[in-house]
Amino acid sequence: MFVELNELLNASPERPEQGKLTLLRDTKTDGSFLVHHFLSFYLKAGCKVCFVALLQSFSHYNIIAQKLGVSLTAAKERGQLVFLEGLKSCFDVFFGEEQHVGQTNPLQFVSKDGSNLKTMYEFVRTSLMASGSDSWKCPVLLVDDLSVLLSLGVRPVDVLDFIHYCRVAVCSQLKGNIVVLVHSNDDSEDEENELVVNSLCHQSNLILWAEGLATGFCKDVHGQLKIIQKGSSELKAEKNLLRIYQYKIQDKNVTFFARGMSAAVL
Amino acid sequence: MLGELVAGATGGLVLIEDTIECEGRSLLKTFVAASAHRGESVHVFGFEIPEEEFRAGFDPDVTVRLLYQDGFTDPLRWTGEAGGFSGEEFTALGVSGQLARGPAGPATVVLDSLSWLLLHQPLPTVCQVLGRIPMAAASAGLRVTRILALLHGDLHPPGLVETLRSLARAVVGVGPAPEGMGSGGDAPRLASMLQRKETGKVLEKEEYFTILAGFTPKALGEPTGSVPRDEDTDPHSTADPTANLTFNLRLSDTERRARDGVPLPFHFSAQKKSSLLEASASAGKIYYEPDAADDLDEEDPDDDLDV
Repeated sequence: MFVELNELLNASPERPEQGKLTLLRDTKTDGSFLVHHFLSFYLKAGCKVCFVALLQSFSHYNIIAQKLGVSLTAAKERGQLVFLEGLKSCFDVFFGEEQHVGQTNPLQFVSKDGSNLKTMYEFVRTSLMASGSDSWKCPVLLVDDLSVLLSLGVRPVDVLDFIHYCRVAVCSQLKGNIVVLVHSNDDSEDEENELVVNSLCHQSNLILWAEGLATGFCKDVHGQLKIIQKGSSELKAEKNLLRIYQYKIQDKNVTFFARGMSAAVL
Repeated sequence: MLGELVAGATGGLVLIEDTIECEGRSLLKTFVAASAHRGESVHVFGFEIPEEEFRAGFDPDVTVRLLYQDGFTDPLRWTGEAGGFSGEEFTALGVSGQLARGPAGPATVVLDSLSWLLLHQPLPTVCQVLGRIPMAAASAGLRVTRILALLHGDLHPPGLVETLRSLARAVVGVGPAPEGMGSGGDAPRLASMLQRKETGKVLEKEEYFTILAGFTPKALGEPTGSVPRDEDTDPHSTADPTANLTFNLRLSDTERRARDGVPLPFHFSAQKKSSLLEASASAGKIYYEPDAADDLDEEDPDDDLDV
């Protein structure tokens, strides 16, 4: 986890928040550093994590997590991490041996129904359901990333239904957290992606939006991060808090600074 | 005008439209609180947030009149939990069946949110259900005074939003207000309202507002600059540009008379007529003196043409 990002979000592994949906959004840049941050943050906080990793292989995440001080293999062995490796599971759906009854592949929608994510939801729910011997803190669902599901042919309404049911199970019933990554583009013609992104913006409590600089690639400033804390409408109308920082990604750390205050410039 | 709408000035379909920049659920809850305070029973069909989150912040006398249909926990019947309201049950009969379980008397139907229903059912179906709910409820002996619906305007194509706006008796669009309005703790918002009265008159207005604890609205004034200023009443305040010059732009009286006496170039007067008549008596002559370099040939160049 990145210490500076924790300070900006006022979050600490000792007291993780509960029942929140965090949306990670990236435009014209790669926001996966935020996924690595939250993965290592929640593992260090002692939460049970279900990671639906559709984009990269297990070893990719493991290498980066080790740089951040967490071992995914060890977390898997002690039962803290349930890792759904999308790349391998997809392969198994098409070319694997016949599944036994009762062991449905969570990604079987790719070959069968085409769009119903109910089996994936049930996989998430059974992974995060507390069993008697567990002593983990609140459960966390991490998805990297939802735009891949749209590319696989899932309809946007079905993606939203999947997230809806995960919110019911994880945030509402188990008092856990959900962190989801989506790609977006301001002038995108991909209406389905924009529908998913806008709908999630309405539902989420915290939005972290990583954008590439409008002026192009820069060696010292890799992008700009907008942190939007949605005001809750539970008791009265509250404002959304918007803060903007620029960041630079280093080997084991990400530094954040106010706009225009990069160390290279000062 | 927002206060009047909240206090129940209009019945039928009331649409509250919000975007990702500014949420509209707090305004929806304000309408709900006002309906409950008027003694109406409020039937909420909630699909987007859990029941306890919707009920939070209301006074006890409001929550007593709130009947919540839980469409959040299992709207698609994936988990098979009993007691919830599924998306498929959203028909005129289904809704009036739920209304019949409540107390008799005027009822307000709240849809949180209409966007969820529009993503799962086609637009014509939803519009028909919205139109039939009051009639189905009346045949069951209930009176539905208004239907409050929350719509997320940026999730749908503009045509769909316009269709729903034309069905609604009142539309309140919620947007962020400029910084610096209201006191520090408030969250000022801008309401763009459209109301269709029974007489057919359409009223449009914009107002700033905020919502205090207990879901009471507070008006914060209107945006300035929206009323066009009457330009005829503005006094002409520009200075006379012909004053204080080093050259003379004015004409004295004799100069003016002399200028008026000059005939215009193409004005056909008697003098011109006589000069023209004299000139046409003689044919035009051209006098030409060739110099040394000229090669004058008196022959007609077209003589050898056999035409």
